[in-house]
Amino acid sequence: MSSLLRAAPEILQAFGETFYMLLVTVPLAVLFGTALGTVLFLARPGSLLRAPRLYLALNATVNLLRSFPFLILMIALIPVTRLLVGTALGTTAATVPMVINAIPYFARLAEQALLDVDRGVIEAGQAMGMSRKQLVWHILYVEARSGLANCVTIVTVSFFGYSTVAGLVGGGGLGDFAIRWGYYRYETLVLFVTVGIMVACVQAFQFTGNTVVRRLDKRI
Amino acid sequence: MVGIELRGVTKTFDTPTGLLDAVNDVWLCVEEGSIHGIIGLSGAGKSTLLRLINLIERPDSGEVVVDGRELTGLSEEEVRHARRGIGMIFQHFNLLANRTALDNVALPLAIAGVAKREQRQIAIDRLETVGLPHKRDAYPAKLSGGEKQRVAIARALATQPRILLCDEPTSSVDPQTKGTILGYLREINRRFGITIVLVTHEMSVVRAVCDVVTVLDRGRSVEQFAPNDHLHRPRSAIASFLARSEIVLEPLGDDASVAVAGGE
Repeated sequence: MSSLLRAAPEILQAFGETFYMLLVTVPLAVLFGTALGTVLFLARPGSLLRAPRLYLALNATVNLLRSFPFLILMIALIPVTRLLVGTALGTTAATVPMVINAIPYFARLAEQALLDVDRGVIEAGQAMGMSRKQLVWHILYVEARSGLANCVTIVTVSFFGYSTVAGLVGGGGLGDFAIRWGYYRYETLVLFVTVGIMVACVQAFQFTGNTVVRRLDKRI
Repeated sequence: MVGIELRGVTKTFDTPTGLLDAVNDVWLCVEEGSIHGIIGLSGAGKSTLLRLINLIERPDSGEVVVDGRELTGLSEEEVRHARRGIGMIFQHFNLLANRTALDNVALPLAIAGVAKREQRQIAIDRLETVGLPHKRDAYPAKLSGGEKQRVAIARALATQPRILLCDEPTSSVDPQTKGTILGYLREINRRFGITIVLVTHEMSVVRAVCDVVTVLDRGRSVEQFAPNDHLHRPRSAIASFLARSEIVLEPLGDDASVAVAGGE
C-alpha cells in the first residue's frame, strides 16, 4: 500500500502526459484525417471528382504510412521530429510520430464512413444544384456524422494504446509508467493499479463515444 | 408550348459486360403544363432518360432543351443553377436521415441562398401543401413511406420549379398511399402549372395521372400515346404487354417458375 502512495504523484503525472499526447494527436488526426478521407472518397473512381492519378497517389501514400509498425515509424521519424520540435525526446516529441500515424489511420476510417452515405441522398443534392463543396458540407458530413463520431472513438482508444510505446523516446504516460515502476521494479500492485486506470479510461472513452453516436444518429 | 425537348439524346455506359446503350437516339417533346409518363420494363433506360433532363447524366450526344434553354450547351455552374428550376423526387425518397422534415424542405432554399427566416416560412408553406405541417420536426425515420414521399415532394417544390421529375415515385409505397401521392402530383400540376415527367413501370399509374405516355424499350422510344384515349390500341409489343400484365403462377412442377402473362 505504501508503494502505491509513493507512486501516486508519478501516476498522476503519467496520467497528465497520456492525456497531453491524446489531446494533441486526436484533434489533429480528426482535422487532417477527415480532409484526407474526404479527398479519397471524392477522387475514388466513379465518385464525384474525376482525378484517378490523385486517388492512386493518395491511396498509395496512406497505405505506405499505415504499413509501418508504430515502433519502427517512431524511430524512422526521429530526424523529422527533431526538425519539428527541436528534440527527439520527451512527451511533445512523441506526439509527432503519433500524429503522422493517426492522420492516414483516421483518413481510412473517415473514407469508410463517407462510403456508407446513401448514394441516393447525394443524387438528391445534385438535383438541387449543389456544388461539390456543398455536397460535402450539406450532405456527406451531415449524413456521415454519427459514423465519423464513431471513428473518433476508435482513433482515441487506439492511440491511447499507442502512447505506451512513446515511453521509448521518453514520452512518459501511463503505459510507460506501468512498465518502469510496476514491471521493472517488481511493484506488482502499482502495475495492476496503473493497468486498472487504463482499462477504466478505455471504457470511459467507449461509453462517451457510444452516447454521442446515439445522439447524432437519427436513422432509427 | 414545349416545356422539355430531347433532341436525339444518347447515353452509353461502359459496364463490365460491355457497352450498354441505356438511352439510344431519343427524340421527345414534353408539353408545358402536362404530366408526361415514361413507361418501360426494368433496364429500359427510363431512369437514365429522366436524369438526362436535369443533366445528372450527361448525354454522349444530342441536345436537352428545358424552358427554351439548351442545357447541354451550358457550363457546369450554369447547369447547377438551372437545376433549381427542376425539382426531382425518387423511388426511395432520398431524404436526409439526420435532418427533420422542415430542414429537408429548407435545404434547397439554403443552397439557393435564401435568407434563414424566409427558408423557414417557405418550408412550412410547402409542408402545408402536402398536408404535413404537423410533421415538421419529425425525422424521416419516424415517418411512413407515403409521408416521406410527401416531404420529398415539398422539398422538390421549395424553389418553385417549373418542372418536376419523378423517378418511380410510387414504387415503394402501398397501393392506398400510391393514390395519395398521385393525387398530390396531379394537384400540384393543376394548381401551379408545373410540368411533370413521371417514370414508372406500371400502366395503372400512367392511366391515373398522365396526359401522354412514351414507351421505352431497350433505350429506344417505341411509341407515344394518350393513355385515356380508349380508341388507342397499343402498337408496340412492349406497350400491349404492359397494358395487360398481370402475375400468373404456373402450376407447381419440377421447374416451377413465375411467368408474367401478356406480351406478344
